[in-house]
Amino acid sequence: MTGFFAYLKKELWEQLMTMKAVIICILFFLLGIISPIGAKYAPEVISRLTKDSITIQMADPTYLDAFAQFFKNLSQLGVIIFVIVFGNVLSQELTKGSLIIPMSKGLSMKAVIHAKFIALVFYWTAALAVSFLSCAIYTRILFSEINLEGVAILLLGSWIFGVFLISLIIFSNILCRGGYISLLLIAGCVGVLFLLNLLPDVRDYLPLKLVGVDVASALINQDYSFSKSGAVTCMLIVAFLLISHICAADKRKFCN
Amino acid sequence: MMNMSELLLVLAPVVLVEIVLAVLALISIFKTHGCRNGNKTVWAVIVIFVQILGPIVYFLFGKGDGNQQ
Amino acid sequence: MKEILAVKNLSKAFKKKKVIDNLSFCVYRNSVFGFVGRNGAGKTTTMKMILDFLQPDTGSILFDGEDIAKTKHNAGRIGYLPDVPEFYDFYTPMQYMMFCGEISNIRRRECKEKAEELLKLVGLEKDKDRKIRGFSRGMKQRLGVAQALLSDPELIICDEPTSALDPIGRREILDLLKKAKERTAVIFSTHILSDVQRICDYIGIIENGKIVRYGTTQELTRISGDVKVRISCEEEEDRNRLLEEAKKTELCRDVQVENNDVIIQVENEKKVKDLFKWIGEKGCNVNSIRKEEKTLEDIYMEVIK
Repeated sequence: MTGFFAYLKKELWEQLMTMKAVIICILFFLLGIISPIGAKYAPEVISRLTKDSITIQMADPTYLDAFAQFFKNLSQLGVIIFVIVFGNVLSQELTKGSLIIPMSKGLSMKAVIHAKFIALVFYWTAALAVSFLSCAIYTRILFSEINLEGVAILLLGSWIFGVFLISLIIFSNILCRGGYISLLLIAGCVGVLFLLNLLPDVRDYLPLKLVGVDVASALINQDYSFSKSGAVTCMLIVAFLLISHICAADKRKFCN
Repeated sequence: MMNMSELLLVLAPVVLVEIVLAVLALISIFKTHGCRNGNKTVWAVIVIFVQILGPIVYFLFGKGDGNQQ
Repeated sequence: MKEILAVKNLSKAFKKKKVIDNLSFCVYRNSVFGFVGRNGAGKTTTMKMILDFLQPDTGSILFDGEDIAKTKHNAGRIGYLPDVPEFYDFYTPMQYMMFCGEISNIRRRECKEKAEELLKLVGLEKDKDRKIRGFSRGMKQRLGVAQALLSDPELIICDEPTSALDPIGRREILDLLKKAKERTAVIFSTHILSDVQRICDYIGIIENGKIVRYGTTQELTRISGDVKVRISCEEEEDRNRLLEEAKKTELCRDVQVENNDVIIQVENEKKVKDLFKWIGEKGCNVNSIRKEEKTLEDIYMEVIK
């Protein structure tokens, strides 16, 4: 693990200097404020569009709709943005060859993997915090009624799902050793997840379950269960990291 | 229907983000040597005229790696 | 002189194609070893094996008397400059050096002093707080040398450091390596022969994964058989006469005309004396008689044939 802290520092600094971290935070901020705005004005816009002859009865939107919208956006748009921005953190360095000099000084590939993982988790956490804060503030302003009870567990679910994706990014980058194939591999894995999600029997065990809850009923009735999917996801995270770790043991593979 | 102050409240942060992003992107375009996927002028136009998405796409795909050659 | 690196009977094959074939050489402390060969001759492969980036099939590499396959903590003792060094371009040279220092476990204050000294040595002191983004190739190459020297290594390995540079950049790097010789041993690979002749103490010529010539620069240019003597004559008449006569004597193994000079080849050093006497006896009007120095290029061409 020689050079772990040096590399972690470099990694955090790099994402800031190349604007990636900034972009992620800004996009997640927008994502946060768009959700309550959408929830508030969507019914109004729809009723404007449909002629007065048909009157659709719609309940007035509440903060619950804002949160539902937020978690939906997060699990779709947010995750896609994150993968596009950070999907090649490692493969980019492998193809460029910028790891060769540090490695000739004794930096181990394991240290690289750990540092990348921690840096990404750090930025994922930051992005999630930014986006939830902006969402909460806007919801408070627009609906003047907000109840944060029970939101924490939903946030935790989304956070774990993000960490799962990060471990998937690292795993595919190590496996494909560079190039856009690793992005394809990530997309493929997520595709498989969606396919499996069609089977009712396994649905409860999939990572997707963490971000696919019915927010309104979860918040009002405390009606959700993350224990199965959460456990499976954590196991997957550990498995991905372990495999990456084993692949990285022989650093010779990454020096040529 | 939403009133004026509400509208302002909703739009202000979006506008702010757009301006900050565009300025950062323009500074970056003029400070580095050359861009990937197209030249400086094209990217400047994209950054200025495509709201929010323009600067973001620039940072992800257009920012040069800065070799002098 | 004491040797720092000894490569013994090294072999390496990629998918049954032998790239390195029973290669042996050694590098002495405080000397520059020039590793010469065409592209694909196996220079980079050998260097990567010395750095432990590749595993040799057979043979051993002794660094400071110990087998590198068995000792693990050589990282700080061998510096490496890749042929096209890639840095993190959001760093400044100073930051990059500190980053390298932290990986090599050098204490912060020490590292800072060392980095400043080295950046001065390679002539980047003015640019030390500018971002690496925007550096020219020559500057990157110089930063590469500084980086390789950071942990006071006993050996630095430079993979074609001059081949992508313009003449000025090349001279700067060569001068730098010459200076670096005072601190450490240098392995320097190239296919540019004049570079080697300028700075190397020892030369190994590699072809098809084998060392075909090895020795000091003087040794290599001195030995190996026949000697050429260049005679330039005043009149064309004399030249033709000399040419005719030379063809008849046994002394001359080969006679050629090049740029209006007659070039006579004799068997070895000792015959040169006899040749000079022979020319004197002919009574031609001669402008100059000169023994031709062999350049490394001649040796190289001879060997590669």
